[in-house]
Amino acid sequence: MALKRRLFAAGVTLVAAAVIGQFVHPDGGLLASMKPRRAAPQPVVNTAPALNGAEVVPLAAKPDETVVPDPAVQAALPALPQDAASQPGPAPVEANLPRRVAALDEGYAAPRTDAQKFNQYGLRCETSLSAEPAGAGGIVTLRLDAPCQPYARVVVYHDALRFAARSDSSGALSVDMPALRSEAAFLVSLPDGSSVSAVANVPEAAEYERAALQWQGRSALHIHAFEYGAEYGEAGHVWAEAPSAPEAGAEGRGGFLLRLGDAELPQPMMAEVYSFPRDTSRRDGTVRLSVEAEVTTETCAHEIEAETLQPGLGGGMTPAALTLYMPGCEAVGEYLVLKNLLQDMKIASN
Amino acid sequence: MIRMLLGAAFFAALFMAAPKAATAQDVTLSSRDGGVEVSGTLLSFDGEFYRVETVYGVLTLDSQAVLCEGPGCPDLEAYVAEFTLSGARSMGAVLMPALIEAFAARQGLSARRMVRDDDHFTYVLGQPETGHDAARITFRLSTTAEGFADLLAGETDLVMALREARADEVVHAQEAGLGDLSDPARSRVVALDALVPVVARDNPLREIGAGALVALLSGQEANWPGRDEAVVLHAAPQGSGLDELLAEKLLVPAGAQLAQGVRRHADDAALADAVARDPLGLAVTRLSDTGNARVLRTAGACGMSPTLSRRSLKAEDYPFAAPLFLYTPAHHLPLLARDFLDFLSTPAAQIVVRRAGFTDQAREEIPLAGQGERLANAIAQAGPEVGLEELQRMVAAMKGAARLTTSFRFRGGSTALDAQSAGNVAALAHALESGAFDGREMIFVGFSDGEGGAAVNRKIARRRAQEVRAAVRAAAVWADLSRVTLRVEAFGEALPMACDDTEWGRRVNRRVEVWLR
Repeated sequence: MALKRRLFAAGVTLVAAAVIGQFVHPDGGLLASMKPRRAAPQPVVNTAPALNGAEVVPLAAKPDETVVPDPAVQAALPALPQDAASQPGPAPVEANLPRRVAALDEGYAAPRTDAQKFNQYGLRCETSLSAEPAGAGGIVTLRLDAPCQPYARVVVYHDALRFAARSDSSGALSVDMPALRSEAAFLVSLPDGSSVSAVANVPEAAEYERAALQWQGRSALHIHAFEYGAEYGEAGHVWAEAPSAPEAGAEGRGGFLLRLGDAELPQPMMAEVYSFPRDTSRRDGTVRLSVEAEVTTETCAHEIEAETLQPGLGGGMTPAALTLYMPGCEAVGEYLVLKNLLQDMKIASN
Repeated sequence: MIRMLLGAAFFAALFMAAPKAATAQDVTLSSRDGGVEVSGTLLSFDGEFYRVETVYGVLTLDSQAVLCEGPGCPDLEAYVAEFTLSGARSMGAVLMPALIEAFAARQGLSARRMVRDDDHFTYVLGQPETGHDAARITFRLSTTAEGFADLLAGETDLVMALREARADEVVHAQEAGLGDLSDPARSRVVALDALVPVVARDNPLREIGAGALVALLSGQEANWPGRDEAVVLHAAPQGSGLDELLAEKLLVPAGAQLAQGVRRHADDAALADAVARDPLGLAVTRLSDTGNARVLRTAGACGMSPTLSRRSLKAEDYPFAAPLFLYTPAHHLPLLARDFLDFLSTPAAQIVVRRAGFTDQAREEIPLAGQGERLANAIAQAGPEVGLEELQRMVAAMKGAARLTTSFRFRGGSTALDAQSAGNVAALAHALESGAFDGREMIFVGFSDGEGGAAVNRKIARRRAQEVRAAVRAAAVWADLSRVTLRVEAFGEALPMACDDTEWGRRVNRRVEVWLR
């Protein structure tokens, strides 16, 4: 209750909360209007000089801008794409160039960009993505291979779900994530402005009831699921620190939670997805879902922008935008507990 | 802030137009269909209404209903509709936010929920193209009683209520100049719900008589029926809507009150969870949030158990119905708020209501085949007063007809319709206007309880049916009544739905049904 009282005071400071990252919303206009957005720097690919044949990109030649949290470098990071349709691509003049040249010269072949570059190990700079169902739980293993983009901050998009992860020293990334629908499409956007996509057929996805939360910035947000009346810390209380496993879900014992995204990245984009098996449940009951936001020195007196994803009327997951007014900094260490952001799941046994 | 800006814009516009103002008129307001046009000098604009000096005198026009042209027109884009909903937590937690979000999506507006805590949040609806805010909808969640108090204090526009306004609230609102809350036009049923007794899953009891339930709740009986284990009573917070409903629907009619020493819980969800964990626990809660507890069937003394189903809630055949109300103010709401209220009765809103875990109000037809239990009741209750001949007459009338879930019931002992039924008059009239029953025969069938003689009861039932038909006809202003036949029929006490030994049982039996052929 002490926390609750402080919340009112926090409201006064809501103006001061511009630091938390801007959330990229698929139909983003509202957000853009709510917060001044920095002019998006041109993606690297656009400003690069024209390609001249095979080009070697030595890794050491380029500063690793994704890892160094230097504010100046951060400001230079490319803006995240608004959505798949507005991916940063070549500037219109450049985009037309091959077509215009082709019109003049029949023998002209449009340059293949990435394939003609090599990294320092002599591997082609071709980016690829695969999506394979991974056993239980309607889970898909995404494998990204981007040999010329090591330690890169990449953003994974799937339905309304998105999160940012980092490729390793060889430009590879492997993520296990839930498929939100049976015909699941995945898109990964890379810092050079390019993107790759993959699809997977995951029939098990339809067998799970899911609820998700996603946010941008260094906020400590968590979904807590209390299955069949479980209390804090008991079996059946599922959250990031007690996530259970997809196998539990497949055997009808209960749900599981996956936390997605790399919190150590600059401008992290995180997501949590809770899944509960729909038809293999052994008994009727309710899973109560709540969202907890830890008041930290970074989040106190700030606004946190987040989104919930819940089953929509059309069958997919419907996003709902949220702004949380975090309590003042005297409440650091406490939690803002929100029981009504995610609708409780009603489970009907078979 | 926004109003100041608007004011500034208006004065700037007025100033620029000033040289012409003496002769020329600075605004022309035309109705959206172009049928009516008024020109004049704009006197004021409050974000909602234009006050215009015209040759006809000063006119006040709703800005949402007319288009404004001319140098004096204020910037409508900057107008933000603001309104507040206050009241029952169980209504504001999931249901109303879901309806707001669905409404926004339907209007092509973006929605963002600005959250202070579970009980205080604001929806900001925006125009995605322009980025302008279209509305700020504030929620204050507490209890039904506090919602009405907020209305009296001028702190809310709409009240979320689990019950109808109490007599004292109606009086206070009248005194405060807020108009008559008991006027059916001031409230609408958003969703249907019901009171149900709940126990832990491992409790062996499956069914309880209404009388036995009241005896346990009031403490007259301490032990579970047939066991020498004491019942542990759980309840919602004192003064909450659920607490008030329990008294109003179950306890007061039986002259009882809730026993001392019940365990109170913070909210309805906590109540259901506590009972689910307590093998000896008993509570009455709302059907929409029984959590992990199990619902006990209630039985009448004569052997008829009210069925608890979506259809029985829609038809008010279940005696402990607890519809969720939205009370609207006597004053004018912004257009967006009015649009939202209109949205609540659309089929799209009914889907949202269902998904939020409540019972919707979409009309359904129950064929004769689905009425077996009623017929069995009728045969079981038949006797010297209702003979075979009368039953056969009724079955003949039912043949080929389906019963609509839309039913009409009355306030205790009176001929005034109850709240859900009053809403049904409007809904049925609207359906008639839209031609939903064109080419069909609609029969208003009156029934009564079993008190008194059968002949008298049939007469009373017929009169009620005639009154309901008249009310529906009067409300269906735009309906072409030549396309549908509206008949009246009455069968008195022939088709009982509940036992006549309690007031709530008799109330269920006194009804007007609608059959379609």
